[in-house]
Amino acid sequence: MSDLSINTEQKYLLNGVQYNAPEGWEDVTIQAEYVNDNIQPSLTVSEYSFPLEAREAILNWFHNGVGGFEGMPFELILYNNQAQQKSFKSFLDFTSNYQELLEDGRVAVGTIKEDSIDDLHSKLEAVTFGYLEAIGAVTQADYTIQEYVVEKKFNLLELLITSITLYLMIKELAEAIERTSDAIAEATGIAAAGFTGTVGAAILLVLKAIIAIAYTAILLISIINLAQSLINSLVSPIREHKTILLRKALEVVAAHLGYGLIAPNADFDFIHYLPSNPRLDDKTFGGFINSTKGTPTGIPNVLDYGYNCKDMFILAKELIDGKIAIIGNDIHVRPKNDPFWLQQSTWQMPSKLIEVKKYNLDELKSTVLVQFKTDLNDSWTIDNYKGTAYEIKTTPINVINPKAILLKGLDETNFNVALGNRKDELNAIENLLKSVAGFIDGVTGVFGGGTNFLSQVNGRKGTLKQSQNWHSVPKLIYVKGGRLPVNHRNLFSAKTLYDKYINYNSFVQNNFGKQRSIYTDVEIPFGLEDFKQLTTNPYFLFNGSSAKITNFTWTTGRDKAIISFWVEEQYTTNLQETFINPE
Amino acid sequence: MITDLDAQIKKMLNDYSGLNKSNNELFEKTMQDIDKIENKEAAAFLSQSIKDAKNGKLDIAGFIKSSEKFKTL
Repeated sequence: MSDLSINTEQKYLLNGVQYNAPEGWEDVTIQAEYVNDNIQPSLTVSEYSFPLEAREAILNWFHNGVGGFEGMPFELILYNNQAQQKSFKSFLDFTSNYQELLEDGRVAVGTIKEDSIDDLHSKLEAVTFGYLEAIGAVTQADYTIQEYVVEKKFNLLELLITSITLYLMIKELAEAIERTSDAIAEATGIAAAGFTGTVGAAILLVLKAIIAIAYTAILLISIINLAQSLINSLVSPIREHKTILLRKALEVVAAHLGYGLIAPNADFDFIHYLPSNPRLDDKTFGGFINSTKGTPTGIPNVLDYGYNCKDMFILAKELIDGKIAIIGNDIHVRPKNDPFWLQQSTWQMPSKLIEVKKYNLDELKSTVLVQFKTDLNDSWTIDNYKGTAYEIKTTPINVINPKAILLKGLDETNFNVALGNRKDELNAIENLLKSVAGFIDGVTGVFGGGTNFLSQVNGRKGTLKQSQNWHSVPKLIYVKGGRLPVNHRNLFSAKTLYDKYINYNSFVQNNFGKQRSIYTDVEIPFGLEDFKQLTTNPYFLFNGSSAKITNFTWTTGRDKAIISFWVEEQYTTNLQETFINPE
Repeated sequence: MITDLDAQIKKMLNDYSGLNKSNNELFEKTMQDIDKIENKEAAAFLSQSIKDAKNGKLDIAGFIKSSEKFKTL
C-alpha cells in the first residue's frame, strides 16, 4: 500500500490555489493515536511554516475573510509517474498555535483533518440539546410519550391511614342508608293512607313500587359516588412523560452537523431517554392532584447527563461498548464486536522483521463493574436494584503462591443514567379498589353512560413506575409498543449489556479474545494511501490473526512511519470469571 | 385490617348487586302494571315517575304531593 508514496511528488493547495511547499515539508510529521481503542485516530500534525505568496493568502484569510474561526482549506496532493494521485484534505487550524513570524516573513499554523474524529468530538462538545431545541432542530414531533404512575413504596402508615379513610367512608354510607330508609318508610306511610276506589288501589301498588325503586336507586348512586371518590383519591392518575428514542436523539445531532447516522444496533430502536423531572404536581387546597406534570420535552435538562451532545454519543457508545467513526458522510456508531469493522479493513502491513514482542497483561483488571445510577428521589431504582449493576471478577484457576498473584485493579463503566421500573402488579389498595371498580362499571352500564374504572385500575400495569413525580436522575427506558415489557430487565440491564457487548473485553470469553501480543515502534514504509486507510479503519490481518494499529507517527516527506499495534493471541488459559448480579 | 375491609366491601357490593338486579325486575313488572291503568293522566304521571326513580332523580316529597289528586279514583 505504500507503493504510491515512494518517489512521489507533492503539491500544496491553500483554498484551492497551488503554492510552493511549506518550509521544512520533508520533516513534517503526523501523529495518530487511537485513544480508548477508537476506530479513528486523534491526529496531531506538526506545524507548517508558510513563506511568500502562501503567507499572503493565509494572512488575507485570517484578517480579511471569514476570519480565524473558520479553518482555511488546505490540501496536500501526492502524485507519481503512474498518474496516480491522492489528496489529504484538511483545514488550517488557527486555534492551534497560529503564529505570524513578523521578522522572518512567515506564518506557522497546524492543520486538522477534514471529517476527523477529533473534529467530530469538538463539534459535538459545542452543541447542546437546548440549542438544538431553540433553533428548531429538535421539536415536539421528535418526542415519544411514556405513560407512568407515581406509586410510593409500601408504607405501613399510609396503608393504615388509607384503611381508616375507607372505614369512615363506608360508615358514612351506612348512616346515609339508614337515613334514607327512615325517609322512605315515612313516605310510604303517607302514600298508603287514603287511597280509595279500584283505580286508586292499582295506583297505590305502583306508588309503593316506585318508592322502593327510588330507594334502591338512591343507595346505588350513593355507593357509586363513594367508589368514584375512592378511586379518584386513592388511585393516582396515569401520567405522561415526554421521552426521546435514543436513535432519534443521535440522528438529530448528526443531521445538525451535516451527517447521517448509521447505528444498526436494534437496541437503539427501543431505548428511550427520559430526562429528569424537577416539576411537582399542581394540587388543590385539599391535597388532591389538580394537574399532573410529567416532563414537557424528551431532551435532557441542563444538569442532566446527555445535555451536551457529546455526552449523548458517549452514552450510546458505552451502552454497546462501541466505537464511533466517520465514514463518508455518515457517523457510524457500532459495537466493537460488530464484524463490520473487520470487513472494512483492507490495509496490509508490509513485510518487516520484528525484534520485540510484548503482551497486554496490564489491560486486564481483576474487577470489572458495569453500572447504572440509582436515584434517591425514586426509591424504586434502589428497591428493584437487580440489573442496575453487574460485577465480573477474573481470577487464576491454579495458584502456586497467592501472594504472587498479579491480577489487580478495577475497571468501571458508569452510565450516569438510571433504569426504569415497571408496574408489574396492583398493590394492596388497588386490589381492594379493583372489586369496587368492577361493580361500578357494571352498575353504571345499567344507568347508561358507563364508566371504565376497572381498566383505569388494571391499565396501570406495564407503565413506568416512580415513587414520586419529581426525579433527579435521567433514565433510559426499554419500551416496546408504548409499554415496558414484562421482561424489560432481561432485555436491558447491566448484565444484558455485558453479555451482549462488554464481554468483548474479557480475557476469558470469546475464546480468550482480548488476549493480545503487542508490538511497538516498528518502522515501515508508509505513504498517503496507508494514512488514508488507517485513519478510516486501523484493523488488519497479521500472520492470519486480527490486529489493530494503536498509534503511528508518519514523516510525510520521508515515506516512513513508526507504528505500534496489537495482534490477537491467546497466551494463557489459567483464568476464570465469577459473575455477581446484585439484587 | 385491610383484609377485613376487603371482605366488607365485597359483601356490600354483592348485596347491592343483588339489590340492583331485583330492582330492575321490579321496574319491568311495575311498568307492565302501569300499562294496565285506564286513567291516561295517572299512567303518564306514574310512568315518568318510575323512570325518574330508577335514575335516582325522583323528588319523593313532590311525588307524594302530586299523587294526592289520584287518591279517590
